[in-house]
Amino acid sequence: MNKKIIGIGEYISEKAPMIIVTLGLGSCVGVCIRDKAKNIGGMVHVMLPQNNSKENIKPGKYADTGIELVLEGILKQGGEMRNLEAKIAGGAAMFGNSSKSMDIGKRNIEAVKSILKSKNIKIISEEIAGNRARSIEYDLQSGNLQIKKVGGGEKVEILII
Amino acid sequence: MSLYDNIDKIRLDALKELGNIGAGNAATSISMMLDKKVDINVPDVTVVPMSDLWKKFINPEEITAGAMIGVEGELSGAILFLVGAEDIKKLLEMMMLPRPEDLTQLDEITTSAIGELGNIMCSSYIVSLSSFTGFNIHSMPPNVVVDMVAAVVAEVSLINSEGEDYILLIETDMKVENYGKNILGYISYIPDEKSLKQLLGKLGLGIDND
Repeated sequence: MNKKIIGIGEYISEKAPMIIVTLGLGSCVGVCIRDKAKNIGGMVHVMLPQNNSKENIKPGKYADTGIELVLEGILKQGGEMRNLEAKIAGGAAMFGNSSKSMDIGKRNIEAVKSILKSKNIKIISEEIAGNRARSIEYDLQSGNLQIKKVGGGEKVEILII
Repeated sequence: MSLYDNIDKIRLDALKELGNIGAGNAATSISMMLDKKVDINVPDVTVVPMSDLWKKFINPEEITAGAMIGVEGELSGAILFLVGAEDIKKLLEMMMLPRPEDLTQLDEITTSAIGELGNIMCSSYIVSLSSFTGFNIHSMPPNVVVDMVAAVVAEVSLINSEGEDYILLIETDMKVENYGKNILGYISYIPDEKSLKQLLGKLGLGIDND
């Protein structure tokens, strides 16, 4: 199976068969979008809610510009807006209420949700907030999103949503 | 042109020396507390694009425990102290504390012990950094964390990168000798961009951009 790993602030749109992976989502949010009829989908590893800078050096870092680019990629490959569904993961507060992090996770989730809502893309499942980091694998064929996070007993727990 | 494009070999070496002084003092304080020999490696200074951070780890999902200590004052950023799941238990035992059964369900005593360990190490780091550079800096209370190593380093970098595309890590590996079985630890100073500029300026290696 083809696998592609994206890092913080990166994005990708591909056709199935393909598994898109991103590691270590803390306060970042992994936004997964897929055309469920044609199995074309993408992911972006969002780091901050909004792109305020005029020069777009790394547009994938931000919820607004990042999601836009994933959508563009999906549509370009033949996906259709009306078939799109989304799954999101991440947005944790790993360091509790530390003043430094200022709850970026929560703000990222809010931004992602409102952008998806404005585009009429339904979030069919989510695994968000909490205080644990997550690694995710998105299978474009089945639409399954596999999430790994540290659970009880010092083991890495695997969930599929 | 970003500041991070201008970090050449001589600047890397200067920052390595800073790491050496900081981590050396951190190692001395933990060595005195545990009454064990502690060795440190030559520090590693790397400029990493945020998007490539995950590539640094052989096993990004390894569970580690540690503490992040914020730096405030004339410099900012954070110092991160991390130890693998098994090794942190050995360290706690050396501190005459009960061995935690499950690191993912920490009780108050263990949390505060890990925080204190981080505090002692990172405060000595900060004190030596302060006396070497002459900057007036102090440490914030520790934030204890138990999670996958790649995520912890990424999150701390993220908090201090302020949206920048690059992060500079001054990393040092250390080992505590424990009857032939070494305990491996990791301490890293992660300055933000502004502090990095100030540090280099102080060392006579300032970069004039913009």
